[in-house]
Amino acid sequence: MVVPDALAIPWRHRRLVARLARRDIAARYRGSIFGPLWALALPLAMLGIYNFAFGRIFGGRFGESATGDAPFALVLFAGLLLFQIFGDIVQSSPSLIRNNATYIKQIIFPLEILPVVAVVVALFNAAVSFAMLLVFYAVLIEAPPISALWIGVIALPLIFLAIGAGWLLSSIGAYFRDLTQVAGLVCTATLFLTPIFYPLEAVPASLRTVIGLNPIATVVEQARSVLFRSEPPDFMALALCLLGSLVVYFAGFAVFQRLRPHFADLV
Amino acid sequence: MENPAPQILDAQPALRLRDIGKVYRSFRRPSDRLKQLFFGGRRRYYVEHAALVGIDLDVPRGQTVGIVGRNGSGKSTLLRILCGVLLPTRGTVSARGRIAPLLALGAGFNPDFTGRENVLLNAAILGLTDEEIAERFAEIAAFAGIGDALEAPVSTYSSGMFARLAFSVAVCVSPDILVVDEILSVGDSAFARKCFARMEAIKAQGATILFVSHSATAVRELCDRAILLEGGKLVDDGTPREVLRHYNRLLHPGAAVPQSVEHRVPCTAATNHATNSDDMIGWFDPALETIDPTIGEGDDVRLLWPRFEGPDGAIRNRIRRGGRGELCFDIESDRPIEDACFSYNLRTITGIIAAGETWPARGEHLSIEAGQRLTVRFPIEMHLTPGDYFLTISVATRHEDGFLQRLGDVAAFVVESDATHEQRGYAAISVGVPRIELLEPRPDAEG
Repeated sequence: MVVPDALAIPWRHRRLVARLARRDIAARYRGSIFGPLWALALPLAMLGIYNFAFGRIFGGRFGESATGDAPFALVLFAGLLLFQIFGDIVQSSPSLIRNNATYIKQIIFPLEILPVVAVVVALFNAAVSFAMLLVFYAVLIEAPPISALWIGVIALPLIFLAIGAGWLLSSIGAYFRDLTQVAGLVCTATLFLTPIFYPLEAVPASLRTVIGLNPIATVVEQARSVLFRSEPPDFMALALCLLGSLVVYFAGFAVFQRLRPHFADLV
Repeated sequence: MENPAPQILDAQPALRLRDIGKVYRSFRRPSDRLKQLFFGGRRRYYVEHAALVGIDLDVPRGQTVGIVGRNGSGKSTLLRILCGVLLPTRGTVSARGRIAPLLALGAGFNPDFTGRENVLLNAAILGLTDEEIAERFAEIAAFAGIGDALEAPVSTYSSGMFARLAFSVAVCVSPDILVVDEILSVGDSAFARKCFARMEAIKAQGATILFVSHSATAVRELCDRAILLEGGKLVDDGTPREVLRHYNRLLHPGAAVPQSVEHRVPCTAATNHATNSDDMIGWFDPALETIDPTIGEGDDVRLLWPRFEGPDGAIRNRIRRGGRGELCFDIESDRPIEDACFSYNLRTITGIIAAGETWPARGEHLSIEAGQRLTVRFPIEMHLTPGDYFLTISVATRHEDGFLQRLGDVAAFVVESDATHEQRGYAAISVGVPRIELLEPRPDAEG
């Protein structure tokens, strides 16, 4: 039963997911001098670099209609931090099974949750970045609008999409190592096919429908709308986007479960 | 996993394997795997390697089964399949109850984290709830016995400490079925002893244990049953004694070929037997026999007639504790033996050597001429705890490795119980009934 299992299994293991995610987050900073401060410092530095490069040097600005007069760096950063949730998963999933060989060969472990853990870690990083964004928002412009709270709802399709992609790529990646190379390419391509460095309006009308099929594009567009235009999200677009993401989610789960019995032979 | 009522559990084996086969496919190139996927109907792009063939096995609840076999015989593959970690190519596995696999110690341990953090995480991975973890943490820590090191990163641990902690976590889940691969060879012997004690405790709780080991002693000591794998097939299944003997034959081909021992070893030659069961030293019980002794190859050196003789020269095999006499056997040699030495071992049912001697000592010289016949007599007093013992005798020369002749388990002895209370171990050091001495109350005690 794909549909109920895909939802029930991660939920049943939610505590283990939380524990593993905490471990992964802590492991990243373990042994470094500044420890968890890095979690704040890195997005801060990235934001500074964007502001310098795109704000000062390019002097770029999104169309007034799209984002008001918010600095380009902030608009860019908002899109990027959301994309990064998906990007992290696409980059790490193909080698996920191989990197967790001990869980596969030596213990009885709910393997389905490995991609879920990766998504939770990516969400944590995005949340820290988002907090940084809000701070900069307040400093550079004004207090962020109340509509910014919609971001939690807007991110929902992205979470399902990322977990689904994680299941898909990790299980296929266990068979074909070449996927690791392809994934990097896919990641970059998706990044540029998503209106992150440019507003959707900049896309020729003929191509706009193609871009519109990309669920991340909808998520990014809606996030900008609630953050920088203080408008409620377009629920119709979000619902369609969620539907598409759920298809990926369930398909990913089905493929993962189908291939999973053979993982132990492959790693 | 469903939890059927206990009576169903008792009726059903804990583990049932039917016609298990495992074939590994090895692809020469990664692209062959892709080709196989798309063009597999027309051609085969892999080389098959059968790791297991037609394994049938039923393990009743509460049984401890030792799995022995040479390297590459399929032991680990079998363990992984019955844990559900690896999928068999054919056949079915059904298991009842919670399986705890100990396939590798510290699987999933992160070296950068402290012992405590790793314990918490690993216990969660093994399926314990937060409440259960909190409940058992103290027990796990106490069993590992590594003290304050629990708060240090695991990367700073010695391999012994690592093993202790990993084993403690692994067995904390109170499994119904414990599956242990060759992992207890790490760590010091005291810890190995502790692990065995823990496994015995788990066994005593009624758990089923499957256990791979190269240590014959461990298998003898712990297991009710042993199976032997060879080339992926189950070639023997029986008591640890029998199966280990078979295994030894595989390991050392030609060293111990079972033959019809009866006519070569007249164990009960018609002579003077003590038949009176009131005898102070013991008596002879013709019903007591040893099954399936082993006999070394070659017949130019022969060992005959192993026996225990009392001071009166009468043969006995039921011996009272402390009974004095001589363990004797005869030697006939068609060849001269320079610097000969003779040994005996008395083993328990589980194969532990309870007592043994080799004589003469290195540096003392004893030579046997061709065609000579002689009797070796070891004077002994039977200070073993009551129970069954099996005699193994051998003759060797200091100039060659191995034995010139060796008879394994050729005679059985029973040390008769005289005790009014329970005694354990192998050495009978008790010399009387325990007593109680009443003490004065403590002067500082109240009242």
